[in-house]
Amino acid sequence: MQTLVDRIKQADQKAYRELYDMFNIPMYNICLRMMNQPEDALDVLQETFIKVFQNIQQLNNGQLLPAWIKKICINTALSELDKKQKLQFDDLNDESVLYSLNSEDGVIDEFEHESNMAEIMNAIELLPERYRIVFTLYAIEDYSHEEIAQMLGIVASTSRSQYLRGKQKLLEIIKKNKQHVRSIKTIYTTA
Amino acid sequence: MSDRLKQYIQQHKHIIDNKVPPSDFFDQIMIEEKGKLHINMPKKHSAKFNFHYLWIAASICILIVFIFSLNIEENGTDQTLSLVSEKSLLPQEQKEIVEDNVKANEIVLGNETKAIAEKTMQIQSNKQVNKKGRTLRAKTIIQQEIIENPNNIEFANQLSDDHMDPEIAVLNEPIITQSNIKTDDAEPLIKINEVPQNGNITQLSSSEPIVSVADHSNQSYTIGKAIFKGIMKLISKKSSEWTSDVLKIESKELNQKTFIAVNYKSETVAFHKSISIPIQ
Repeated sequence: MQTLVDRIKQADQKAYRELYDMFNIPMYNICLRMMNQPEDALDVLQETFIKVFQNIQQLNNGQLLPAWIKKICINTALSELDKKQKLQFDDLNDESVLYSLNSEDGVIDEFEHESNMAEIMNAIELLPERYRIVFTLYAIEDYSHEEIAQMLGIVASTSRSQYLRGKQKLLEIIKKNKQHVRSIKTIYTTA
Repeated sequence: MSDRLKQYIQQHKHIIDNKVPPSDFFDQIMIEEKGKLHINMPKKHSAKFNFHYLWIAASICILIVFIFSLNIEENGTDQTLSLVSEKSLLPQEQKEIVEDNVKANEIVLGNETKAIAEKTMQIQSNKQVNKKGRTLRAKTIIQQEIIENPNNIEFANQLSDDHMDPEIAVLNEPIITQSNIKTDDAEPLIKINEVPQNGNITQLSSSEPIVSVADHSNQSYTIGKAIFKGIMKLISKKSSEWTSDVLKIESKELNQKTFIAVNYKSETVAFHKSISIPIQ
């Protein structure tokens, strides 16, 4: 990784291509999850790589390259979202959302097949933007609430409450979808 | 990672990272942002117009306009007057007012000129009287010193009309013109008819240049002061207004002596000093 960084610093065009090939797919998927629209995701991806190529001289430790690129990608996406509509993260009461989270276990037990992951992703796309951002950053990108709070300019407790709200909403959506599928299956079996 | 949902997502994350951007996306990035990236690519000789010469031409034009505007500022009043007189773009009423003002100014100027001319005449007559008086006094001092110091006999001979070396006389010629010079001396220091006390000294004519020879230390101090004043006066003015008659220093070597003459002229004071230094 350090060699790659050094080659890019020496403006080796092949190294640019190698870096792109290495990171374009994970970064594109992050962009998709953050922006929720393929066109917007491509804009953010392009902006991300331009920033990476322009600022790679500042990166001294090559081992930090994946985390560094990911951080640039997320910050770019957040600033794009902020441009489109001001993100607002209200501080919610955690107690109000905890009641239904016991049902989480039942839902997850049913995730036995890989296709269920796709159901989760579809449900995430249906979440309101403020929940979706926090949920994506915490559950998928594996950032802590403190890190998310720093990125979004909020306090950690707000990040936590937004995540719990989002999670509750997500489970509701998944349950509804499952009930819908079951009812369709019942209709087909009875018929 | 106590969160079971998060745990499940993290375990199966590889499944969801399956979307791929368009295959030519890298080329798009490189083409669109080529200028920003500064990648080492073989430089092509572009046939773009070279703006370098255009910048030079533009800066020269700006400089010319700036100099021209400066000239306009200096000749501002003249140009305003010429505009008033030459161009009849002003309305009739304004034109009449301007003409009346010009006439009034002409009358005032005429009166002032007359008054200045009278004053100048008066000053000139006073100056002539003062000069004669000062000349006589100066010569008397010189003669006294020459008598007291036998070494200066040679120089005393040079000071007489008959034996004055023409080159030294040139040095001693006063550059002071009589016009516009004011002096505080209302009366001459020594009247023309006054006879010096040492009667055996040759009487010098009043048309002789002012040459005062005191002891060298005093004289050099006076000359130094005059040079300093002259330099300060020159510095206080714009370089374009510097003239040689404000401060004129000349030196000549003659008869084993160096003669240094200083002419200093200001608006209120003007004088001429010279000093001789024996060549060792």
